Amino acid sequence: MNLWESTEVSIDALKSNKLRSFLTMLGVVIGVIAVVLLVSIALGVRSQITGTIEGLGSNLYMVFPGSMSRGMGGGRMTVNKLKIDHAYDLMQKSGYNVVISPVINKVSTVRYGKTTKNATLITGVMSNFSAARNWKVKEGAFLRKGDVDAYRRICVIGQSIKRILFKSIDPVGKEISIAGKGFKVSGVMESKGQLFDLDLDDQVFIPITTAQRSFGSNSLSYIFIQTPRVEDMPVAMEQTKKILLTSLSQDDFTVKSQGETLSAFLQISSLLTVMLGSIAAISLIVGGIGIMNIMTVSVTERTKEIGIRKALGAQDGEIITQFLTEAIIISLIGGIAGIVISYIAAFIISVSYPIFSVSISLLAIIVSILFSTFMGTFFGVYPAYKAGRLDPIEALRYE
Amino acid sequence: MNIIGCLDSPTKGTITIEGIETSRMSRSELAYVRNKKIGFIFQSFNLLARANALSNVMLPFVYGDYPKAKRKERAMEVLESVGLSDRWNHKPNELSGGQKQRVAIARALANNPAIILADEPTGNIDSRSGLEIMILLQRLNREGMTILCVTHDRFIAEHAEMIINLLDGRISRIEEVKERKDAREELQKLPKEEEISD
Repeated sequence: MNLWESTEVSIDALKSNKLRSFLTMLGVVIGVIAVVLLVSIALGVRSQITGTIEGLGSNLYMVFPGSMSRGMGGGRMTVNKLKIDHAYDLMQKSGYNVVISPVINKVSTVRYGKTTKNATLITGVMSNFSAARNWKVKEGAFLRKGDVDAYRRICVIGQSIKRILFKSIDPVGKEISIAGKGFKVSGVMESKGQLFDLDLDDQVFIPITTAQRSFGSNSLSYIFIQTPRVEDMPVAMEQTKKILLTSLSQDDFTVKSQGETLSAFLQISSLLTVMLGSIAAISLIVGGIGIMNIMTVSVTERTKEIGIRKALGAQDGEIITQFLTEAIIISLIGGIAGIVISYIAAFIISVSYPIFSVSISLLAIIVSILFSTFMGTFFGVYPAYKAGRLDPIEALRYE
Repeated sequence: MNIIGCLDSPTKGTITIEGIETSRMSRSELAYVRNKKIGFIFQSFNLLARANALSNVMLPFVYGDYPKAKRKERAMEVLESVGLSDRWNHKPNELSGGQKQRVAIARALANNPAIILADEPTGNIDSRSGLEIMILLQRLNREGMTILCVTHDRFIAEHAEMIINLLDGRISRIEEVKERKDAREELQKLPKEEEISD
């Protein structure tokens, strides 16, 4: 009896009890969907966030005020000692052709005509920000050096601001009010999307000088520093630290690269992926136990058939192969069906919730196919062995 | 019966089939001998319910490396010899008791065995169909097939050349059948079907 024959026999047996075969497969299908989909969602979110962070530029690092050595994001600062003069100092003393772009952030209200938008991020920047941050203008022009030097009241708005305040009107040249003061719109940035739950397009850029004056503060939120060559990053970072240490103490600032932020995030996300995957794997194991259960019942039910086959000369191994093939077919079909359904589900999710960019990974597919085949084998072995070792006389007598 | 059929091994003594001693064989070797040398006919037919007559007859080929191309041809040949070639596509539940037993006989013949072991072959069917089975078995016997038939029915037993009486697991008497019954003649003696249905 070759493999094809035993496959034929198995398919025949499965067909003879369609509902039962279907329900057993369903256990595997659900397990596979759980694994594939959860892992894919986790990986999708991960690749999206990685993309966003990398979109900031891999040759980018930042100087934050205060000491951040106690972990990610948790700046423990008392007084912000990072001033714009430090940025100028860096511009003068840094080598490696770095681009220094200081930033001041404030949250404020913007208004155009009768439409008001609260809690908008107002970002004071220099004219080199667009280049340093790798974020281009879509309409109009970015802030010019002259605008910054002359403390002009001019601004560039994000896509969300344009959508909310201007709707279909062309915003370039119009005047909006920021914190009660009038600013002329010189351009609109291209969309940058979300970073976690923060809408980067809900942002207005104004000259950093104007920001200092309007908000009455010359403390910086952070400084973007871009090195033209990625290889120069470590040395440039060291140099930045040295320069800043001449006027600041170690606790007054933190130099951090995007890579460090990214690796911290990746660590968390891998942990999350493994966790979600393991939870889903449990349901796959439950499906496997279902197979074992049904195969055991099936062996008992078909004792007579086994007896007949043995009387006609079936070897123990041939009976074992037949039942094992059956278990593997159930789990394999279940696995493939699960993957197909996952694909459809992933498509539906990514259409209705664009925030989740679900990417079905080849790895998840391969792993779940291998795993479901393994499961069929593992959970099928015992019932199949039991069937193969049945005594033909006992089996023939079974009613 | 089970020991002759290589379903079981004897604790004492030996069994030799066509010069092959089977009493010390492994499970696997016994399975091989069953496939090649033994044809079983059971009281309850023991056909696979899901498979049609042809597939049932071909079942021994699956376990015996029978050349694939010749399987169907040979199966149709034996079905023809039991008079059921027109029913090859019928499943067991679409056949009468007598027809089922004839399919079982065809299956027993498929691998051209050394001996046919029949366990109460007429036990589950009416006497008319039973006699038709006996006609078939007598014909096979005339053609040179060794048939060992177990029965409680003296009438059926007298269709054989020799009767071995067993009592409590021991041979009590071996007798030559002097007036061997001919199943064809016995069938003539039965009342006609119309008379029964009255």
